[in-house]
Amino acid sequence: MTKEIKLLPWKIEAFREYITYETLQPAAAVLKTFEGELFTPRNPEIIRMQKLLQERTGKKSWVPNRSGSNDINWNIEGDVTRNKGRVFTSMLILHPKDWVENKIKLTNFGNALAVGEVSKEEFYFFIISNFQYPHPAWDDNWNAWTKAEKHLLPFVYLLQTLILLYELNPNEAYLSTEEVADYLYLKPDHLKTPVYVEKIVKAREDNSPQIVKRSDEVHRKISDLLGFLCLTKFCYFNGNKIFLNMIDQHQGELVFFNKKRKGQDKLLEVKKLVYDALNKI
Amino acid sequence: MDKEKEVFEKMSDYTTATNEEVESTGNLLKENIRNRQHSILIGPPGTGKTRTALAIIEEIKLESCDFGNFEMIQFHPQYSYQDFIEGYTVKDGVFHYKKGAFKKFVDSSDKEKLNILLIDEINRSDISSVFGELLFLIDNDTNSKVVKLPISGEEMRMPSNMVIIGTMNSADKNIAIMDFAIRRRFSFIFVKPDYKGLCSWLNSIGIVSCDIDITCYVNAIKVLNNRIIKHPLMGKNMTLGQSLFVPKTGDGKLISNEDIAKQFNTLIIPQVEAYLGYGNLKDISEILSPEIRLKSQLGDLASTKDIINMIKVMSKSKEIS
Repeated sequence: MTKEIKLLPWKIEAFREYITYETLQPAAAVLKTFEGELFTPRNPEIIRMQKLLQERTGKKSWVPNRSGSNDINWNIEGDVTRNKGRVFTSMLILHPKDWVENKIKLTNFGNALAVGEVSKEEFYFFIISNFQYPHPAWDDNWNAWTKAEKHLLPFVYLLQTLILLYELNPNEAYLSTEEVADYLYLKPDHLKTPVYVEKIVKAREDNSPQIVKRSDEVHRKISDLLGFLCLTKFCYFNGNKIFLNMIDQHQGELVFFNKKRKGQDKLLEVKKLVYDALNKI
Repeated sequence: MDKEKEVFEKMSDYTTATNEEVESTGNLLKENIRNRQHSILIGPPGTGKTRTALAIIEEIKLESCDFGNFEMIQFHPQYSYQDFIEGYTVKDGVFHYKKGAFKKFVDSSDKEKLNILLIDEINRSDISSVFGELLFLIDNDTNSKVVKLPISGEEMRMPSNMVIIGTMNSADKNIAIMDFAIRRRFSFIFVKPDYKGLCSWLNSIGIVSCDIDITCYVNAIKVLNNRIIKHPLMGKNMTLGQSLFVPKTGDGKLISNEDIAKQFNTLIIPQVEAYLGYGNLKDISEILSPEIRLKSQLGDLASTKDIINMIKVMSKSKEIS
C-alpha cells in the first residue's frame, strides 16, 4: 500500500542534455562575453547572446520559440531566463538575476568554467560536491529546507549510500528510483545512511512493496538526480537501476582489461569525494 | 535574502590555481631572436620599445659567443627602396649605383653568426615599397628563396642567420599602412606601459611633494590609462607610456609639484586632446577632469593645484580595484 507524504522538495533541472559539461562550458563562455547586459528581450545584446548560445552549444531551445516569424526579432515569451534560467543558477554558473539588478553576472565557478579553467572531471566533481539543499535557485526548495533546518548534498548522499551498498556486496551496489524515494528521501540525513542501507537490503531480501506513491514531484526528480550521476560517470544505468561505476565503463562494454580491474582505485576516488564534500558542511 | 546570497556565494566559489606568469616582452623578443623570427615591438608612445629592443640585443650579445653584426636604422616618410635595398646616387652629374642599408648590412654581415638589423619606427615609411623583394624573401620558408635585384642584377637572398627587429608606434593613424601580407611575416609583441619600471624610475629620481607620493602618482597614471583603454575612441593602442610621466628635472633635482604640473600641461593634456580631438570637451572632462576641461576650453594652462588635485582624486578612484 503506497502513501502520500509531505516531503522536503528535491530539485534539479530536468533538461538533462543542457546540464552536461559539453553544453554548459560553451554556454558559460557566451554568458561571460555578455556579462553586465540587462536581461530583457528588448535588449538587442541579449538577442545576440541567445543566438550565440544556440550556435555555440548546438541546442536550439534555450529560448521559447513563439515569435511566429523569423523576421520578427522579438520574442514576447521572454529571454533565456524564462525557459532555462534556472539551469545556470542551479548549476552555480550565474547569480540569480533578481539579485544583480536583472543583469548577467557569473559566479566564480561560472567565470572559471567560461575561461576554460575547469575540466570535465573538475566540473562534475564541483557540482557533486557543491550542489546542495537548501538551494537558492528554487524558492520552494530554499524555504522548505531552511524552515526544516536541514542540509543535504543530494549527489553525495546518493554516492554515500552506493558506497555502503558496495562494501556490503559489490553486486548489490545499485539504487532504484523507488528505493531512493522509500528509504532515502523521507528523512534525508548523511549520518543515517548506514541505517537506510540496512533497510534497503532488508527490503530487497523481503521483496517489500513500494512505500511512497509514485509522483512527478518525487520520483521524477530522483530519476533526474540519478541521471545526472550517470552523466558524471560515477554511476551507470542498467534496467531501472543505477549502479556505482567502479570500472569507468558501462557493464555492457566489459572487455578483457576491464574484467581484470577490480575498481579499488575508483572506490577510493569516490570515497574521497564524499569525505571532502561532507567535511565542508 | 542576505543569507541566500551568502550560501550561494559559498556554493559557487571556485579557486583556480594562480595564473602562471605571463612571458615578459623582453623574454618573448629574446626567444624570437633565438628562433630567428623577425619581430615588431608595437605599443603606445613612451613605453620603451626601442630601449627594450636595445637592452635585449645587448643581453644576447653578452650571453652568446655567436653574435655577429648589429645595426640600427630609422625609417621615416622619405625613406625609400633606394635607401634600403639599392638605387642610384648622383655624383658630379653622373648616376652611380648605390647599395641600400639592408644590402650593405647583408653583404658585410658575418656568414656564420647571428646578425640583427633593428629598424626603429618601421611604420613611418611605406614598408611595402621600401622592402620591395625583401617581403618575398622574409616569408617563413625564406632560406631557399633568391631574387634578382632590378638595378644591379645581383642575386639576393635573406641569410638564415639574420633577424629583423622593428619598433612601431600603435597610436599613430598611419599604422594602417602595414598591410596583412607584411604583418604575417613578423611576430608582433605588444609593449604596454610598465608601471613597475615607472616606480623604479621615479624612485631613482625622487618626488618632493607633501601632496602626492610615488604610489599615489603611479596609481593616478594607471587610472588615467584605464580610462583611455575603456574609451571607444582610444583603447590600449593609445595609452600613455611611462616615460611621458617623468619630467626632466636636471641633475640631482627631485621632482616637484610644479614639474609634474608642467609635464601634464605641456605633454599629457595636449596628447589626450590630440587623441580625442581638440574641442571634444566632454570626453576631455571624462578622461581628465572637469577643471582641466574648462582650462582646455579657454586655452589656459591648468594650475599646479588643479593638476595635483586631479592626480589625488584619480589615485583614490576605485575604477581599477
